[in-house]
Amino acid sequence: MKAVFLILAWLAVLGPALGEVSEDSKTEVSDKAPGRALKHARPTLEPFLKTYCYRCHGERRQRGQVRFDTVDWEITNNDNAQRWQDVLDQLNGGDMPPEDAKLPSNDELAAALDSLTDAVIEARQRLTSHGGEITMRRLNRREYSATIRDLFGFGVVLEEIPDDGEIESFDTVGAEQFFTSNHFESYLELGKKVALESFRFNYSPYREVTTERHEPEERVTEKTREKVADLDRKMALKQQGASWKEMGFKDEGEAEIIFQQWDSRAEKPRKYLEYPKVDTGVYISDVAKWASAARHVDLRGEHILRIRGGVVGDPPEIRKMVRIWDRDSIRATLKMAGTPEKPETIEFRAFRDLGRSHFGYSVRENVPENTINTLRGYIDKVQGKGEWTDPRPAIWIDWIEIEGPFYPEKRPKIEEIVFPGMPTGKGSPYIWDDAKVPELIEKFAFEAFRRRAPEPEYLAGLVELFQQNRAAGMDHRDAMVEVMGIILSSPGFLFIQEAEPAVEGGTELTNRELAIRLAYFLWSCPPDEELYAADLSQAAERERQIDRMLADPKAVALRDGFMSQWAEFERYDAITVDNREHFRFNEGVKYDAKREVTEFFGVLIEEDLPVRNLIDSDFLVINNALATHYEIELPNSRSADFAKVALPAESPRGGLMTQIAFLTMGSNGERSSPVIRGALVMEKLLHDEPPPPPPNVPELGSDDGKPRSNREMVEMHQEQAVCSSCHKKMDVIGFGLENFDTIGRWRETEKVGNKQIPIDPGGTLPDGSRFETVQDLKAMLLQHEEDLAHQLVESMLAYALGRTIEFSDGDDVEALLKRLQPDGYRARSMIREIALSPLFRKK
Amino acid sequence: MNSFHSNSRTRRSFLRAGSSVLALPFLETFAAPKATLASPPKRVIFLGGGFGFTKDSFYPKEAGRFSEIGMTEGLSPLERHQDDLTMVANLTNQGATDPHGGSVSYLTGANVAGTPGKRFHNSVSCDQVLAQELSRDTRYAALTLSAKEPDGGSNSGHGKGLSLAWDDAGNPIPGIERPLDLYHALFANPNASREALDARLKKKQSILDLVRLEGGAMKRTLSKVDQDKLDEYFTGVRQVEKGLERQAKWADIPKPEAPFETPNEGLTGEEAIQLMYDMIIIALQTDATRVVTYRQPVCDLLSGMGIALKAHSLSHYGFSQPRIAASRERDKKCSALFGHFLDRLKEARDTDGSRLFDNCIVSYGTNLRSGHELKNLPAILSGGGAKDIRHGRHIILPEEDTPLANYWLTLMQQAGLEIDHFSHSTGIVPELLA
Repeated sequence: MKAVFLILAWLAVLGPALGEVSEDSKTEVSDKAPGRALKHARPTLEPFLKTYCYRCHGERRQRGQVRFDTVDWEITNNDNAQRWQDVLDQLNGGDMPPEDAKLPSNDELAAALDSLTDAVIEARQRLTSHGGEITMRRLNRREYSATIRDLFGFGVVLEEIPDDGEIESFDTVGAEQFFTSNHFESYLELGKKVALESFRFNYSPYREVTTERHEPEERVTEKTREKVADLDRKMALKQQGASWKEMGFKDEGEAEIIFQQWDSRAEKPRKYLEYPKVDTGVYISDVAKWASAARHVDLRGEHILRIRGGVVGDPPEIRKMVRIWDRDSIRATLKMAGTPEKPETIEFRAFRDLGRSHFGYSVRENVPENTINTLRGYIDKVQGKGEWTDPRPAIWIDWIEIEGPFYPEKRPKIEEIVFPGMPTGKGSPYIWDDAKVPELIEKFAFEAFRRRAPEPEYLAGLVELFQQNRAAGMDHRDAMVEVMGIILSSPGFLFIQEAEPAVEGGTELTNRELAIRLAYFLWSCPPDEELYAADLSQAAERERQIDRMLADPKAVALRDGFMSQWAEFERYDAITVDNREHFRFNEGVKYDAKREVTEFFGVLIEEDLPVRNLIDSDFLVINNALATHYEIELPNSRSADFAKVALPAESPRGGLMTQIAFLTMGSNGERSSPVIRGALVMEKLLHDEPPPPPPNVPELGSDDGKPRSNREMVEMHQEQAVCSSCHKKMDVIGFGLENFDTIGRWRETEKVGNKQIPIDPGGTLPDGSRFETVQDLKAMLLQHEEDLAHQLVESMLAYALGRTIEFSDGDDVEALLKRLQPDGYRARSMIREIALSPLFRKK
Repeated sequence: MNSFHSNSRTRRSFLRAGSSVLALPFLETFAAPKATLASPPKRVIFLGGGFGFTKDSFYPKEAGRFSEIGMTEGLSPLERHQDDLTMVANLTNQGATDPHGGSVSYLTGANVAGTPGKRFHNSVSCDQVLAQELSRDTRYAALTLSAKEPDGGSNSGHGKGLSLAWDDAGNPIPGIERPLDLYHALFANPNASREALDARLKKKQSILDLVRLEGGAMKRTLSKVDQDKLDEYFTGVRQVEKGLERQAKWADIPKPEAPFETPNEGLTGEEAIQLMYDMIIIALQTDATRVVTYRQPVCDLLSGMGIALKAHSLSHYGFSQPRIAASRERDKKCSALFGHFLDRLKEARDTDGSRLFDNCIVSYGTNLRSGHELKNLPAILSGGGAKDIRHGRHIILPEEDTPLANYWLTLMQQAGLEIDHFSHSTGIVPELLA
């Protein structure tokens, strides 16, 4: 126990003891004042402290100079908060009360912990409040890429853009961003790369649409024939007793390996060559792992990748999918249509980014990447054992075509500047003319700075640098590239600045600033001509513009940018699913599962559906690969698009909770985690984020080797007061989702030890309400749809304003909710109302 | 200015960069043995490892000399160094609150969530304080090394920040993330002429002047909070400038020739750590700097070992036998790599012919003990640079949760700083000196 007292002694060193504020400073505080929660905690906490703590920390004794009987029931500063935190840590860590003292029951301790935890968390939030002030922010990665696309017609791969760092709220929140010397250097280099690429594309005319076809068998079939013939020749020599040298091997080891693996090296390709259509296409298999196509393209245009082929025989559904790779990232999964005899085409469209004018994709069966050596084991698992040497392909590909470019309707801004009122590529008054450079620099900087006129000295400096470079022998292009690189790493481009109001005490944004805020909220890129020109001081015009913008394809930026962060894709990405065990969870499904979340939200926006669909919906938004994963019928789609599909009434699916991404994030990759799932439901759907786990709590689970069900393991939380105060709710919610396994597939039983045990998905919440199934659980959550709406409004406001939402925003949030409530909190309306709210127009 | 020991022998392709076997007897003579310094300078190295180690198999249970109590399983790869190691129990970083942030306030001791009006605020790290004193006359004030991992800092147990280092204002200092970039920082580029360098520096300076001019104009219209934000930009620019100034000052003093081929761009995990370790030694030997921090890759190390789990998942090893086994495997790998580093430090000769090891203070650890425990963190110390510390022991401090800042203060004093307080230190750790 000695150590404990020493810790308390340290507490005393930090500052005055807890209870030194005199009694008479206690005043009645309003509900909005700091310390409310501690005041609310008092009825629980004070008797607890009296019974278990006063003996050593009261009037008579102040062990470790800590005294509780005279505390002020408010938390007004950080020292204060820290000392209560220390009390909490002591209780959580089981260090206090000491074992030889009177000890509280589990329930008493849990209740005390509960109320003190809430109080400390709330106090921390108040104490770190920025008072509603927005911190200027730099373009995040997404915005940088979209802004470059707006200026030049091509985006930038996010990984090439300086990192946003670890963000807790949203990537639009300036207070969470850092700027270091590395940022500057990287922005400068990247800016120059962008400018150089611009010279490659923006000065040349638009190209005609053309098609290039690739016959993948050209790469495979002849080579395979040669290989088999060569092996047969070697085998014949071997049978004549030839040495490894005579057979033409590099060394003896090679010879040994080849003959040992004869079946897979010679017989499997031989069998492959017996398939009927090897001379007109490839069968995706161990022999031909993938088919690919590539061409050089104009970055400003979209291209279509078209695959013609068919499904071989009658394989299980999961084997009919192909996955499209671009270097090392997945771009789409598609379901093959047709048969080798009656081939059909499927297609997917894509833009390319900076430095990727080589439009190259490979197509392979959608299988786990760890089958790269051989598909045999995987195929055995999904369709049963087959002949050892048969490659058993499921997909045949006739050819792959790349067609394009298909240009967007509007030209990139740089082309509007360089080719004013004339088609791109012909007769520009600016190109290659040094005398015109000052004008061009000014126009470009103005547009890059989102229509703020740069300082004359700055422009003069840029021109001077250009001229110096020219004088030093640099060519026009390189000299210009450097100037543009500087503009693209200047604060005027990198930061979205909202200047101090011209009028003291005023808080309204200027028309231009409001246009920019709107554009970055809805599109993640700068305003277009029409928005810049609009008079946004008029409410009707604001509404008109918002509706126009939401109808624009660029609005997917909000859907993806907001939802990927709200649904915490980073956490999802960090889960490593053991896909030897969960072989249906391949890289394609992993990718699609994220798209499901954003596409689902996209449908809510597009159709203006109530946000309660996130709790439960009578439809899914999926593609063929997910339909297979969910075992749901979906008409075969020929494109990579997701589709809305109605669910049968009794289906347990629907809503966010039963989507793969959510369920997998609520696992550790090996087994499902009711704890994480429950915590996520509380945070996202109930607006009741559980406090973070206190540090220094040891891992649950004893190592007695006894197999336990998931539920039994989690229920161990209930035995310890420290855990149970939070876990009694979240774990129980998580139990309701136990019918979904680690990768989100339905299950009735769970493997415990060597046995399959039926799953019990029921639970009783702390308030006594009881559910038996996931449907019951959803019905209960639906009764709290206003909590979900509240959560979403606060999150989306934070995303829109670029700052976290605080207690002081309570009235504004309430006002928004009130407007949305009569219609059932619809998604598109929520976005509109936020964009129209007074808060949105304020600095 | 100190002498700079350029290497007279060409050793290109002596080492195959990226191969895991780097024969390094050359290190012994990397610095030409001319004893120009009366005594070699002190160097301090901080190594940070994200999530901690396996509770039951890494930490010694009793105090005493390792030669008597023996090495634990996790420490066993360090056995040959057992008389040159100190391990300290019962240290806790008082500032650390983030159970996924082993590195955030590791060298600062700050409570990053404890500043009014700010969600996050850190303070200066002790390596930077040391650098101001120790590295006045070196090419680099400090070498800040880190690793870029696709899964982000929290997943690896490091938490926020870009490296272990934080500047005076509490902003993160970016690290050199790839062995390749460290290679370029340390070694001569045969194609670089003085004129080209001058021209580059001059050009860069005029670019900095321009963006500063633009920012200055913008700043006038901004609110206080926004001005502070813009100041981060200016600080970033200023850092670039300082780098240029130092570069200019050192322009006439050649960098050593690279003793091995340019490393591969994509080295990760174990290979990256090993190469970084080797290059740290060259940096110290050639007196390019005297202070080094290295926030090591964790997830990449695991995946390179064939462990498919992310470090965070692995830290929740409690319930799963395969995870416990993997966690213990990871401990041994970290110890083995650290042992390799100590081997090289001992092989390398310093300016006066002594072992480089004898002039270094090497610290290895993190805020997190095991899983998500922030108490009683791992603290391993080596090197002969702390003259008052006798190695070879596991010390259990009498006070639980002795401030980690006390430990840093002790090391800073041992490195020669006249300083009696750091972060929330309450004094030194006298047991270390006993």
